[in-house]
Amino acid sequence: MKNDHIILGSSFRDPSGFMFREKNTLYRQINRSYKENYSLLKNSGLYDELTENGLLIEHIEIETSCGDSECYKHIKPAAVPFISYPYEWTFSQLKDAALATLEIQKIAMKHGMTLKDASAFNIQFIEGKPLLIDTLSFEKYEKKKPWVAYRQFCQHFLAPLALMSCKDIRLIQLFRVFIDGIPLDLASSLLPKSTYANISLFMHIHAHAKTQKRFASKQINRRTSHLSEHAMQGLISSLINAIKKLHWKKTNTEWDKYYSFTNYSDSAFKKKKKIIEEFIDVLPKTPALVWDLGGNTGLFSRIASNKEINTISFDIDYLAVEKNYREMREKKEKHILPLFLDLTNPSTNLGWAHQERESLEKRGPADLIMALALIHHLSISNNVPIGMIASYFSLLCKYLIVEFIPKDDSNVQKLLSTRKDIFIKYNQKNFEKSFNEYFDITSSQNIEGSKRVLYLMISRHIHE
Amino acid sequence: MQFFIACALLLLPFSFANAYLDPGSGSFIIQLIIGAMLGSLIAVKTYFKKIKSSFLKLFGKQSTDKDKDDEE
Repeated sequence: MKNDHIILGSSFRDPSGFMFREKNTLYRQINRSYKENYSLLKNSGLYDELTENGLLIEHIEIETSCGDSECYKHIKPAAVPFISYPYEWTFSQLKDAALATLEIQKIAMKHGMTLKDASAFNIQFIEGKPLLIDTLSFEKYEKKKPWVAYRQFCQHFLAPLALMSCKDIRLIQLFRVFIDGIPLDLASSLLPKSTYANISLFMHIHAHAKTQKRFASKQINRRTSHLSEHAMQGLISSLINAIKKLHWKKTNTEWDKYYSFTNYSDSAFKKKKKIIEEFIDVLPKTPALVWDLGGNTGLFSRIASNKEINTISFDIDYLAVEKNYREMREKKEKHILPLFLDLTNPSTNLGWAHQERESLEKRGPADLIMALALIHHLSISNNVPIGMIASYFSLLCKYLIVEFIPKDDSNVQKLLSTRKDIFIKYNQKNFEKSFNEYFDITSSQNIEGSKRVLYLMISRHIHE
Repeated sequence: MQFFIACALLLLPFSFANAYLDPGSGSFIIQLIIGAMLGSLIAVKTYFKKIKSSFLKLFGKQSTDKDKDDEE
């Protein structure tokens, strides 16, 4: 390894290689121990088929000396605009990621290879599609050898999807505690007893969990244990059926009427869109990455993404994120990524040495943050002083488009209706003063037909 | 089907030796059981299809006519 190479904190488990950063570009080292498998991946036609079908990240081989005795090759994978994690996904995102993983396994077997891991963290949404980003996830398929990634697949995909579908959508948050997927005994105990009647869930979760417990301290002779190719195909088909049958039932009922959008007129709404568009256009450089915090179903996020700017549309409401994702998928949009985020408790650094999964802040800064109709939720519903919001936002972005909604607006009044108004500092003057400590306010515009104000600001912490 | 799998889980004569199990050992065993059953189903289906297609080849015309009659 060269001195200016920084190995990623998440890249240590697999001895086949690792990811490293050099001058802001990510590369992957392939070790000599993986040479044969890499050659098979390329020569069997598997790499071509997967990349042509948009299931595996593309890469180019780098013609440089490795400077490392273990090193076989360096490759440069295509850039991923934003790394997201399963605990930030909604139901359909995890489901699509699961089906993509199984499709990859099916194709791999056709080419005499198999997935040696099935981690949800290896899937990323790029241009609207779930894509495997770990090129070293394949190994030669040895006839009759069971699928080594089966347990991981059940923990990373089937168990959380079953819990979300049959129990509660929020249980995907268990991923933040169990970063190698939901333990199957836990999933089995949390799932309703009625799921014992579901043959797929019975086999892959309940019986699986019981078998894990029963054989946890016993000896086996693996040489006498075979899984024929037919059996392997049966196993994969069974998992595909299990995943396909899981649905988020809420989506069938309350869907269309969930968001009746605004408490202001159509013309004010149009005016708001126009101001946001003007603010984006006036920036000295087109942003490469926009985060829309509290993006709801992505209406305003799409002002940026329609300009082919990679836009992450965060929201705390799973239903909104789900709706946003389905719209993205239906319209085959390539530049918007809906994600779940509770801004009052944002994603933190997780895993070994706090370096495996990165916090929201570490994955930033974004070139532009949009915080529309958000401040009153943070300030009034969560009691965060405006100065603290300004301070945090200044670490997350270079530019900020932020909306201030005064206290007499009906939406703010709604938040205050059930509690005592202790928010004497929640006013426009204090808002501007607080943000001005961390940002230069370059422009502000009243939204005609409402009492709301939109601001464009530049962070003093983050420079070009 | 569920009953069948449950019985298989309880009755399968495991005679494993030589290696300590890691935490994935139960997963290893369950997929052998599930795989064996689902694999057999696939094999049966495949052979059934083959037998059916041989019969259809032999009595193709009659079968098609009969199917049509049935549909009517």
